[in-house]
Amino acid sequence: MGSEAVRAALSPKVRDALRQAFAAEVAARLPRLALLEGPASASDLDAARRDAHTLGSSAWVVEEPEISRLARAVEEQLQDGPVPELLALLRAWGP
Amino acid sequence: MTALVVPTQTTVVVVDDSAVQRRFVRAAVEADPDFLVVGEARNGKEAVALVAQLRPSAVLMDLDLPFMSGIEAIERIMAASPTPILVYSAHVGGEESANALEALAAGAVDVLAKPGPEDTASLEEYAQQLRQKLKVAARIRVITHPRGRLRSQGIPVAGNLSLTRARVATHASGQVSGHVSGHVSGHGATSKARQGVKLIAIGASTGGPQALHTLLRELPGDLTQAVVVVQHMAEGFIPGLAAWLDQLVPLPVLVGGSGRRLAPGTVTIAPSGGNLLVQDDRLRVLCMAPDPGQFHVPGIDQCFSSVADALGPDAVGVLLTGMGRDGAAGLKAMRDRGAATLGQDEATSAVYGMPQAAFALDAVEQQLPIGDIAPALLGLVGRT
Repeated sequence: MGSEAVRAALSPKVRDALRQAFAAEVAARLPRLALLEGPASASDLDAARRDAHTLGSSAWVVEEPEISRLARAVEEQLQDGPVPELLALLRAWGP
Repeated sequence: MTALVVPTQTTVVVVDDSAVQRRFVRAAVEADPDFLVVGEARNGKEAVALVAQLRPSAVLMDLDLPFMSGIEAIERIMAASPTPILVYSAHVGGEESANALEALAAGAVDVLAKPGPEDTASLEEYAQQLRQKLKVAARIRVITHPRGRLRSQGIPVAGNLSLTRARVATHASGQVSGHVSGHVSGHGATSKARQGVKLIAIGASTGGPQALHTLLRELPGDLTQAVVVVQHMAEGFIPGLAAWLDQLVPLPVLVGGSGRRLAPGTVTIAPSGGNLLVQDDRLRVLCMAPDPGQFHVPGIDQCFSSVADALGPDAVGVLLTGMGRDGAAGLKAMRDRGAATLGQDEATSAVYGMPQAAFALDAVEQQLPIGDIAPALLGLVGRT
């Protein structure tokens, strides 16, 4: 145990994989978050809150602090939060 | 989902609903060749099944999960396949620290906050922190935790299964009443009453919140002694611990501060960031900056030693589960000054480190299962 050296966790290959995973996560969750642009049911709000939470944490991992900050604000404030700003940044990750 | 397991490696199951997080955590953990991620689960249900199947050395668990919350998954894992669980979640700091305490009460061994937009740590720094915590967690010998089993049988137990959220209005289903019976004990606590006991001083570390809950819930609300608790805990979690225990135990629980007195019939928890010292037999306390190089803050040794000086035989010392040896020398000082001293036994300790160190120093007058400590305390203060 412990004979081999600990290496850097995030090689360029890992970072690429994380960004690809983030793009896929954005693509999957963006439609539900976009429901915040109009009237939304309680279950829509709950799903959007969870999506904002997940994307907020994931954005930090791919070093997108502005998305992380906006997502956390939307998670807390839902429709009263910076929804258009967040969606604009997320759409830039889309296909 | 599975991989070839090399026996010398610490095997890990990662539980997170985000593929990005799972990928990051896998990379962070496997950067150290001593670790191997053997499975990934996307929700609580998958986690329970996967841990039962793979029996990993440790589990890294997010709390905000679909289908089954992380706290419920922890309960179920600890009831069926006890495994050291390190929680990493965005919902465990500040106003949401109650979630960290719920996770610890459900059986998790430690909690690490997921970084957010305000964090200045780099990804590599966070990865290193994750590995360090995981390394410690994986060494902890855990025991079957009864809460999940009791709940599955429809027996009411304390604790929320859902997350408490700061600001966001969600759930908070009222606190479920009822007591979990403590760990089965074959010993009867036989403590002779002592005259003049004014203070019960308790120290705890890893596994402490659960042990404190088990002990304090058995102390009656009309106890005439003051209780002081020193629990090793990261900065910012102590108010959450106090609030959580205050809901669950008969005595009021609050966080101590300099210049105040430890009140009879009240549990005072030492604040983080310094040492809580008892100044005199009127139970006035002082919060002092930690000693240079002091590893555990707040320090149990410092508090216990001050109790020994201030109260001599008019105190009882209790050292509960925890890694390391903080509290052992302080408990010995208390015993040397005539105080009654109790230590948690190995079988019911999440980590039999501090109580073992105290036992080795001959600081422990009675070594007891956690379920027998409250009855022993009540015997010592003449409340049998």
